[in-house]
Amino acid sequence: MNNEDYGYDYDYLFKIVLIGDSGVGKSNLLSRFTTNEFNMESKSTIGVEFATRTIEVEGKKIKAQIWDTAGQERYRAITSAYYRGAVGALIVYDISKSNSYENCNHWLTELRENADENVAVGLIGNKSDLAHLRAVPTDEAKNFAQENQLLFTETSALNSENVDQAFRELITAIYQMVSKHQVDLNEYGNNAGQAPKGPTISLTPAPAKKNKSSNNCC
Amino acid sequence: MDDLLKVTDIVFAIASQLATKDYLSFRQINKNVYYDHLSGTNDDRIWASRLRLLGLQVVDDDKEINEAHLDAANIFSKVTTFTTGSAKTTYGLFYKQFQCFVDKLYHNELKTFFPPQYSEPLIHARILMNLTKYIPAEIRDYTQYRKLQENLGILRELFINTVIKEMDLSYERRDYDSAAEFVEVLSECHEDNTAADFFKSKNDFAADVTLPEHIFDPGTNQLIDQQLQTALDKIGNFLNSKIKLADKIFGDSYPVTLSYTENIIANNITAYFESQLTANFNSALAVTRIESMPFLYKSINLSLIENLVPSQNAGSRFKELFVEFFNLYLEPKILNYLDVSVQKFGLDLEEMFTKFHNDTTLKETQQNEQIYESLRAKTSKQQLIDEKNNFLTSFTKIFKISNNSKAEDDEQLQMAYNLNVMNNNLHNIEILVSLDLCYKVVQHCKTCIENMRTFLKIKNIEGVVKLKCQEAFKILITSLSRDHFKPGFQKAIEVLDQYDPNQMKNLQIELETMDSHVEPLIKFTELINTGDIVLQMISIFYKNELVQINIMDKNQDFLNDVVQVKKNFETMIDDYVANGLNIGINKLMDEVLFVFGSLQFPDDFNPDPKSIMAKEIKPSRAAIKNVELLFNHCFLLTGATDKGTIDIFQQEIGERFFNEIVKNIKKNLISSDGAIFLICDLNYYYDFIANTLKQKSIVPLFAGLKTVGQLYLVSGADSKELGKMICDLGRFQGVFTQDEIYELVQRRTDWVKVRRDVEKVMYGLGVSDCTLM
Repeated sequence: MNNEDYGYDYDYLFKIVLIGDSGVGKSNLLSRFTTNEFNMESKSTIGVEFATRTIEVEGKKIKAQIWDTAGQERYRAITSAYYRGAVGALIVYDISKSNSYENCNHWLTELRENADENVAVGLIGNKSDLAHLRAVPTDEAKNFAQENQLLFTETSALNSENVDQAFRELITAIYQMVSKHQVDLNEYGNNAGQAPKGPTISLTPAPAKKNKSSNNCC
Repeated sequence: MDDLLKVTDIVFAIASQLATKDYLSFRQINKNVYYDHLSGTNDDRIWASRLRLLGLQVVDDDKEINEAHLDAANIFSKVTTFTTGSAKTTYGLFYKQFQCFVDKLYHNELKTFFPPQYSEPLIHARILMNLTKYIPAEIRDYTQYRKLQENLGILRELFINTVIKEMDLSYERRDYDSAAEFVEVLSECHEDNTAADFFKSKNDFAADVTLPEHIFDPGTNQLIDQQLQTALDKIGNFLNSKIKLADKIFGDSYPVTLSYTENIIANNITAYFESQLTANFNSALAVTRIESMPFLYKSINLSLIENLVPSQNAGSRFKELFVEFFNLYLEPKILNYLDVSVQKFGLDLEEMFTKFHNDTTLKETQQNEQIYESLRAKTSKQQLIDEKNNFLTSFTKIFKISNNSKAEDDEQLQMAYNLNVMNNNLHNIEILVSLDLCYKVVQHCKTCIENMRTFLKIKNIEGVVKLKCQEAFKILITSLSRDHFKPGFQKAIEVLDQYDPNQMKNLQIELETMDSHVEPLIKFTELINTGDIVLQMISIFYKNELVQINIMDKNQDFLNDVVQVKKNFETMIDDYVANGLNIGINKLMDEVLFVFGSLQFPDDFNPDPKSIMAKEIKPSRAAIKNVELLFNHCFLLTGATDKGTIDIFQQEIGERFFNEIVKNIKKNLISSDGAIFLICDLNYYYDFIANTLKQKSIVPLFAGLKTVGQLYLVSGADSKELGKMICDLGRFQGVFTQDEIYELVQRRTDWVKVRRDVEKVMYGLGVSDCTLM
């Protein structure tokens, strides 16, 4: 049966948050990924913006629902609301601004405090086009990522370099985790469609999935 | 007695009173008188006084006069001076020439008056004229003098009659050279008038020329071009032949042509055209003959005056003077035309507008269910602006057209095309105001003014012509304003005012297909657009037809009532626009409210937790519909009016929309999970205002709304921090007061649970605890 018949055009819906200091290029990374646009004069994000893009991983349609947050938000109550239900996160810094890199530690801590423990995390060094102004060595960031088990990519929202790749890697990682998780859940005899216990529901199979599962049961 | 003659003074006084013959006798009365009193200086004085009577002057040194060359005809021109001491000799010259004539005159010997050596009539004339000068010198013998004068008069009359008779004979023989000679003779006798009268009597216009009986079609009052041409040709040929003849006969000696032609203009030509213009006056006909005046006048100039041959007799300014006479004699008719023309223009407009009104009323009753298609749906805004510009460009060009008629045709064609395009776009409102009709009346006014301007070059009536042109322009604007735009706007506003979206929408079953237009508002904006086009047309017209051609003095603009009338028209339209837009915005907001009321569902922002994960984050139907509604109306004025009005219009809509959104939030319940959907709507609104409408001044309102959305996103567990957020007014762009925020936060589904903590933070702590973060 085709999923579209049920009004859903995807198999999985993943919530992903973009975090990082103000001005590192989160909104442009998002617009580059979802609509292939770049706005030279984009202003600070107010509150939170959403965008989605559906990609295919291992034959499954995955809809990424990406939350683009304001970098300067300081109310923990709000940031924690952002992280609620996120299964992936991209921590973004600007390779030409060491401050923004140094703050990644803080962002990672905040993320770990608020999000699901299994959340997949990628570290993004954005603005790779500004190589002549580089302030953060690639290796240093790479090491940091390895130490913290983060994916790592340097991107340029301006010239599109690695943007798709960064998102794809993250989404694939989430997917792999979800499939594994699902198997685990199934072993416990649970229906995949039901939410795992607790407030850390991070993996959201689309309703279409339910049908497949129930078909399997029959 | 003898003693008396011994006194010089007495003798001299007597001698001064004597006629020539008597003086000569008196001088010889005795030796004493001759030698003592009337010789030398005294004698010279006596003769000198006589010469002075003949008009001669004393000079110190005189040239030698050859007596052999003198005769009675030329002596006055050859001998004009004398010297002291030669008075007697000089007088003798005159005496010798004229005494024989004087004797003959005195004795009535008129038949053989002129001796054989004087055979030429011109010489005779000169002798007669010379005699009139000579005879007064003999006034001392008064009896003789009177007789001489009398007889000279008789002789002169006889002579002139004979000359006229001879001239007539020559003229009849077409021997114009001889006739010219006789004219010269008459002129010599100062009888130029007689010659001119002779010429006039011999060249009577009425006797020579038969003009067409009608140059107007009695049935239609239309000028028959061919007949007019025939008349003008006949007049022209006659005048030219007479101008040439007058030159031949009179040369430039005596001006006869000017008075002769003036006579013909006054008595024949003007009279002819006047009778043609007034004959068979049929008031039942729509066209009056006087309306052909400009054409008639132009034809006269072109076919008659331009073709006049130069006249030696009348001089180089002949044509100019001819035109002046013409203008002078036609003036009453021209003034009459100007009056009639302006009056008729007013009546025509009245009729055109009445007809329009009647037609549309009829049309309206026939199609009481008229559905207007949106202007916007048919064509993009830019296209509309381009078309409007095209239209106005060609309209402008119409006024700049040279004499090149090909170019004119092309421009007219382009104009017609552009007008048609504009009309198609604006057909929605043709029932209210017709651009086509507006264009027609402006065009009509242009024609009227252009026709009247034919007479602008006539200096005498220049001021009147200008005033009449201004009057026509005033009528145009007053009429457009009073008879067309005012009722159109009133009706549009009335329709707009009566429009009730709820009533309309209830008829529709499926809301999704609901039309996102406030139809009367669209119609109204089209009306604004038409108004703008017409205002621009009027401005172009004013500049090109009145200012550039100096019918209006640009420098006295502000004083002139024409400008006042124009300003009043503009103000009226502005007022209606403001009024209509205000109502339009109200209606639009009614519609917005209706959408919120009908499409914003309770679970939009408070979804069932079970379905939450399946719910996509996208703007709600109500949000999409309302933005669409705004989008469809916010740009209606683009290109239709000035930027200031558009800004006010858009900002007003934005502000009012903001208020509706706030009210809508207050009507709904928002759960922590549902907050993202509200935020999504608020983002959508913000995006429209900031990136599509681009009205900077209202963007903060919508940015504030975005922050308000976060109040609902916060988990109920964070109730204390929620309280802090409410205190932190800077977060909300200064758009909301704390009370408003407090009111909004109450729409949280868990308000009852968090209320205590929130209020504790808000009221339980000092201001210093509310830190700005």
